[in-house]
Amino acid sequence: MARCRGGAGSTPAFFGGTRFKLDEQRFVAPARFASIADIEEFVLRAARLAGLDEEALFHVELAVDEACTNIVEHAYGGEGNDQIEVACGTRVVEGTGYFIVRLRDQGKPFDPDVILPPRPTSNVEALQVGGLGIHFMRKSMDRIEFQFGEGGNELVMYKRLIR
Amino acid sequence: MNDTAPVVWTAPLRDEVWSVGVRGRLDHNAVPQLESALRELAAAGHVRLMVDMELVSYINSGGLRVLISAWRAARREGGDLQLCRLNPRVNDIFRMAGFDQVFRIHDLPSDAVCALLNEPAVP
Repeated sequence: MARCRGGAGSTPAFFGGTRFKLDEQRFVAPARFASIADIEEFVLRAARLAGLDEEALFHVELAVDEACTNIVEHAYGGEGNDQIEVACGTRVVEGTGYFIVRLRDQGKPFDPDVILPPRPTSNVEALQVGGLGIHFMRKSMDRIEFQFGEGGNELVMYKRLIR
Repeated sequence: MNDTAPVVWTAPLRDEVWSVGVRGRLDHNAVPQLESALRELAAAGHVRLMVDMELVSYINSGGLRVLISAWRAARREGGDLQLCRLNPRVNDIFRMAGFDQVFRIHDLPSDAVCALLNEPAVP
């Protein structure tokens, strides 16, 4: 399996050096656009219980929306009979508490490192808007990590519990 | 606002400036409606557009892409698409993308209309 990391910081891939077992709260939904609201509701309920404030909840909502949209549109190539597996939990990593969301799919491998951030410009023709979803995930969460391979894709997103 | 109110609506303002109103979450459900409304305006030759975001509580990358596409189309035809009344959360999303540097964003609809007509803002 290949590993990637996103977000700020220079810590190794898979923060803390170990895989997380996020089995506290799990949810499996059809990989359809109509499921995104259900997935968001599941994640936000867990995030609220974990103590995230309203601004952090808004950021988590945006990141989960963009991640699920990417899974349906790009990993699975559109709506079908596939699934998205979601797990949430809290962990202390290197002395800091995080709310963690993990999304898994069995779609096409995806390497986020090939996606460049948007470069705003007032030049109509030069403005590129591809990769906005990944950009939002990176900006709205404290850290994101991707793993992809034959078993599918796994995305883990971290939001600090205390700002 | 009742539940049957349209999510997206358009209205002529003055001197070929059109208003595009949007209500609720600009997510995967509502974005196609916005895209359709903006395309209809472009097809009718209306290229001076003000999108009033007062009632928008959320926008994702799909919503931003539709606005950028309409802004690009309007600019190509000598017009513009400008925005007004973004709430702080929605403004935060625009800033994350750097699109607060792309769009002209106004506090008041009247300021947006004046800017689209190249008139000084009403004091």
